Amino acid sequence: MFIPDIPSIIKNQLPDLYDLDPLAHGGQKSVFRAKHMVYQDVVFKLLLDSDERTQREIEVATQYQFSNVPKVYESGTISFAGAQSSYLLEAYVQGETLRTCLSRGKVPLSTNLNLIRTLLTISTETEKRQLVHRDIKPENIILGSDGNIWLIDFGIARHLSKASITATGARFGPCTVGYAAPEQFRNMKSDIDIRADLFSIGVVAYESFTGQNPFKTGARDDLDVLRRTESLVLKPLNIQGDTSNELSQFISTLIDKYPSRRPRTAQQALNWFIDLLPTIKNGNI
Amino acid sequence: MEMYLQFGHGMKEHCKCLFRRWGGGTVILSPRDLTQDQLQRFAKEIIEVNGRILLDPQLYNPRATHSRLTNHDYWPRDFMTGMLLGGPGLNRILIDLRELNGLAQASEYIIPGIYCERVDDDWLAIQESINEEASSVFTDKKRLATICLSSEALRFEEQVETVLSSSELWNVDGYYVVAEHPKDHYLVDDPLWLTNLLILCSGLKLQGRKVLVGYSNHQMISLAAANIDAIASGTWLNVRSFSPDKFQENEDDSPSRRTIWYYCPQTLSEYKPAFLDMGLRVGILDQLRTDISFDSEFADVLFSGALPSSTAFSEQQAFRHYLQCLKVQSVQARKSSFKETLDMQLQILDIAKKQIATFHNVGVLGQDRDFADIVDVIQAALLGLKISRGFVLERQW
Repeated sequence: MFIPDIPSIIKNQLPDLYDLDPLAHGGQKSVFRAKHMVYQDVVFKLLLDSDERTQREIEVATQYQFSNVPKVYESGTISFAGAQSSYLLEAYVQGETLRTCLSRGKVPLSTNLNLIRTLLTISTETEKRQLVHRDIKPENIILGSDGNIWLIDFGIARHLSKASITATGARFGPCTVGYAAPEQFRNMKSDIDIRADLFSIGVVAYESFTGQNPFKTGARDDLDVLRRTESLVLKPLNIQGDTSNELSQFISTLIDKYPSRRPRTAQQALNWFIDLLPTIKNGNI
Repeated sequence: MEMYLQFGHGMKEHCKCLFRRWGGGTVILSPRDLTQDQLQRFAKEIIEVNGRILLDPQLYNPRATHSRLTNHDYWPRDFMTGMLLGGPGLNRILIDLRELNGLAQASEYIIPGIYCERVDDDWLAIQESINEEASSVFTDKKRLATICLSSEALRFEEQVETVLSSSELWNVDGYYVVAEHPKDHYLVDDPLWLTNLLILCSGLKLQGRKVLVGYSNHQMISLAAANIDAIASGTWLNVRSFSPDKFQENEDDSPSRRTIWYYCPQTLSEYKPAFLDMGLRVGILDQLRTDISFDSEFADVLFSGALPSSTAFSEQQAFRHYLQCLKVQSVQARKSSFKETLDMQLQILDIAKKQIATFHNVGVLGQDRDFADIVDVIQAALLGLKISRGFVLERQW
């Protein structure tokens, strides 16, 4: 079987790139860490499909700049496997994913508070642009070596004022089970808004405090995870330093299976989170 | 939380008397009980006493048979379900209703809504269609969408949440919620029903829109914890609790069903004068007397020293006393925060519970209007609301 030497193909067409090192390869994209003559450390994403979803990802990445989302330096196309494939060149963030961090156990309180605040802040910005990320999960969160926290991969982001790419009759919407809100995986399009991201942020926070995803732990398979996401009433978190249980209640509110019971907006959620911080002992961030 | 009057049989003089006393008020008119001419004349009288008017189109069941209701111009003739899904038929109904609202000098529109046996796509489609059409016909005043749910629909949290997520997209300024009582009970003994009603109302209010709950009695004072704007109540039980049967021809308001009840606001219970006689006999009648802060002299005759059942305490006084007390309790029920409101509600219920027990011990019973079993129901429902929405309501009030 012919396996193309992707780094050589890229380097031939984009000579400013060098030292390409594979980071991930999936069905739709190949991701490399690389050096660039001008931008220094970069991530090079080759988007192998040129479908509408890919175009939407490029559009989101190039049109908007959000805090704590790696900067996109440039985008374009290269010839690959007899066709034109799109690529994105993004800033490389030195650090590790939250998933890697969680593989060692729970995340410390101060990191967790920083994580929640960062994700909510990003959501306030995406909310203003009518974007829903729809894939907030530990694999897409990088804990930077400099202490900053970053959100990556807007691959299945939804622009609320644009036509949906997912077929209306599709039983399930694009998502990662265990992190997606019920209205998202049930593809209830009219119900999907920033509150779906707030749900995912709540799940990530819950997992960071306990070390375990509340819906995936003990589930037989993905369908069981979905069923549990819709039916499980989560045990309130017992967080050290959360003297008045406000943080625990806040996270429970984010993870409520009904969107009407979550904060209505990301800005509201962020405000409430900032307001409760003084109630947390040793919760300085 | 305000209290509006829900117009029903024989309520004209009560409305005028109470509005004069209150310096104004709002009444929800009932086409079932008023012809177009009566409605127009009565509206003028209400406005003269500084009253505001809303008009309930009562299109809960377009196949209703009550002749006074179905004789109104707006009532659909040759009804077909498809008519409510849009098109000229629906447009005609709304244009006629706009005219009737104009004659009644209504201050806001109540958009018709059909009774919902079960929240499903069909019911939602009809609601959306009516609300959408109303947005192009009712353009000169605010619009309240009717949400009329069966007792069964209100038992299911998922159905309530479906109403909440769908209603967010309706182009309306508020809601007129009408909730069928289970088993036609006046006082509802199902905590799940009340919890879900609280969740529905608080969710609608969190949308930043007005919420008015019709066909209410004193059990609905608890809706203050959902931060709603108003409840509406009236004289007879068929305007203090909702049943779709009210709109059938065979429903009457005959005097034979009438019994006089005294409402005791501190126990949230109603008593027949014969049971007040028991209170007099054992020397605790004064404890049943309504506190002066309720500003109701309507029932004073019961506490004049004579045997209560032998006094001239009339049906008219009983109704006015009830509505006067309910208004005061409604206005006082909502505080400046969820926590304060909830704490006060729970405290009132605790006090009522203790006092009811004292009265029971001496044979003063409210029979089927006794609140003893209802106190627990409301307490459970309020705690259910706190668990489901407490965090949000404490921050968004």
